[in-house]
Amino acid sequence: MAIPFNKRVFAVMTLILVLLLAACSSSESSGGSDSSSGEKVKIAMITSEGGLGDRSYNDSGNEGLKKASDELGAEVKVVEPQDVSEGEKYLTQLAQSGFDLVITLDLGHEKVLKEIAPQYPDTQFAIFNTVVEGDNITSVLFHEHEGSFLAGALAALVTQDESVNNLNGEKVISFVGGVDSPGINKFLVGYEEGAKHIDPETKVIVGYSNSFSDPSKGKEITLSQIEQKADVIYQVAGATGEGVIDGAKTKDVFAIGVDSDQDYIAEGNVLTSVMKRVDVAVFELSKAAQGGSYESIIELGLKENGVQLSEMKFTKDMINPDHIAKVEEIKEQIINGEIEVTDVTKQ
Amino acid sequence: MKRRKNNWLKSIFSSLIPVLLAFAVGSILIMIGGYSPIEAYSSLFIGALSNQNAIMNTLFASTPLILTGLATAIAFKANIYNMGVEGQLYLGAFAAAYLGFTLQGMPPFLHVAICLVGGAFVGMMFALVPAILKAFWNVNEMVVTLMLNYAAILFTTYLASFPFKAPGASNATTVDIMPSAELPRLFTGSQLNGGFIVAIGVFVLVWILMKKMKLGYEMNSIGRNNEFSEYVGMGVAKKIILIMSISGIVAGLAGVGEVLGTHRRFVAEFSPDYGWTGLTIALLGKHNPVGVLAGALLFGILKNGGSSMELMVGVPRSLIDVIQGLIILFLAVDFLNNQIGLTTKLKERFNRRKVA
Repeated sequence: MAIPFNKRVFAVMTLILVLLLAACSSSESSGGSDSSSGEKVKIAMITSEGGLGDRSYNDSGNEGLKKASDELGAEVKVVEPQDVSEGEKYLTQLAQSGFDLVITLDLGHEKVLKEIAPQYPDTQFAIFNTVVEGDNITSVLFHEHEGSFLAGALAALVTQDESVNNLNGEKVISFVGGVDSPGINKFLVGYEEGAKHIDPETKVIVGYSNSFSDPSKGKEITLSQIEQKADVIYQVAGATGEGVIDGAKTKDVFAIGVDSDQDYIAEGNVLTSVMKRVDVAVFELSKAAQGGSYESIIELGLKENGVQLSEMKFTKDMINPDHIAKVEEIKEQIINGEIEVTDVTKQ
Repeated sequence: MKRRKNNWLKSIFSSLIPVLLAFAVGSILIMIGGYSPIEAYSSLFIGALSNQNAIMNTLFASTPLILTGLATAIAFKANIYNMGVEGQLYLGAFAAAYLGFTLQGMPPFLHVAICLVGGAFVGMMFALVPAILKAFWNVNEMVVTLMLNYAAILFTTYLASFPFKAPGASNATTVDIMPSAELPRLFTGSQLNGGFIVAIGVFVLVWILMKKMKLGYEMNSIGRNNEFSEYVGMGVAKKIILIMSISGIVAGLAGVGEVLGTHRRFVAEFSPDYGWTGLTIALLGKHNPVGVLAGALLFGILKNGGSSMELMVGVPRSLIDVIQGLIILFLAVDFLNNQIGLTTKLKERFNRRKVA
């Protein structure tokens, strides 16, 4: 879509870098995998568009796979399709190459997976963030609403504080989503419920960027929300979110990161991050593959550590420790069922 | 006659050089990565060509590229720089999807035909904007087509995100097209579909147009000398509009094929730069339909074989992007050489300096 030359030049540069790194570490990686134990479980992972190097979703999955290779001795493979139409070819080829477990991180493979999986009953397939029914398909769902509830609660506590950063003390927080879809609103509803749980008067301003790759638009929306007195802004908008964090930094208020630990992007201006542990999920799947028995749906929430808040490395000491204690308490209440968070995708 | 043959060989040779150079540089990168280039390249070609299924998948990967390559070649032959194939493809694709899911109860053949015509028409209309600006006001078509790509891509993304978004979908896609609008698969076990037959049909028509018809001669003439062509009464303005329209039709069809044959719905931003790859292929094929066909097959091999290379040898898939990028780079050198005589100018400069 964009200017092809730039993209290709970038690809050349990245590849050279990757290959150089691979050259440096190739001796080590080839040594690690030949600790043969007879029948190693073979696991393949298909990345979603963007591929490895996104510092988020795909890289996190890859971490889980590496762990499976190190700790379980699994034979692992990561493949990066060029576009979504290649899903069918990759799923077929991987199944034919005798992989025990084929994980796809791309939601767009939903439709083809339903057609291909029955043709390879000896292979187990797994897909994330959606439910695909089939005897040999595992669907992995995250309880993003639970993590978002904690983020909302923390935001509602912190927004009343006037002592840190440039906060105004008013009970206004905000949310920037990628698109208005059930998948994104799952985060929003959890966030709102968390905020209202602390103080029903908390106002949540909502904006959508309609793009997951437009940081400047993210920043624009953020600045206008800050104009309207918001001082904690939760972003669920992919790369657009970088602009949200940048906007929060400019005005010295707080952003909340998503998916991976984004606290380091603007030290002291990212209050916390709602992490989705794709790595935990991939590792759990790998363990299931080794045992040879799979569940048809795996749900990962706060309880399973599949969703959690970041350790708040840069902000922990800035805010009132009572707030953190309160959030911990709420977390326990969610885990033991005292608090129930609405999942809009299940309505 | 003999001279003509020599020219043929020469142009094939000059097309092969960038490809071979790109593979050579690629093999250095593979070696740095600690793999064997011979193993990597052989797994690439084995994966793309070793059995019937592999060949079918290679043809499948080539299908949109044949069309985008031809669309670019038609315009470039007449020195009209239609850089908007990507945008025309998107609009054609969306039009086909719209007709595909709204019209109901159609006989399959008719429904497919309507979608093809609709997509081609929309592609043509969109190409007419820069064509008219160019023909009557001499507005630079390169800038207009380039910018309009963004308009087309963002507009179709909007349509797939809001008014036509499939209910409950988590990404920006429309609902599926009716089964009657689908281009059927040709063989089981491969994604190759009726879109390939459409592409080959278009190839034959474009070949006839460029090699056997008056318009083909005129395209060549306008490409070589615009003013001369006007002077001898070719009516260049009208011809520019006609040529751009044909280019837009072919680009639109590329999008239609992807929707009816591959995705069976419109997916926002589905194209992995088919339009731009088509541009590379058109340059590689020297704006000749047969050359474009060969180039599209080569890029199909790279795309389809790339996954085998990744699976069997472990060389990252991005290497294919690198090889494609290098082909562009080496082509650009060749292109500059032809257009402005880069090496001659450099030589002249060098000589002048020596004299002074």
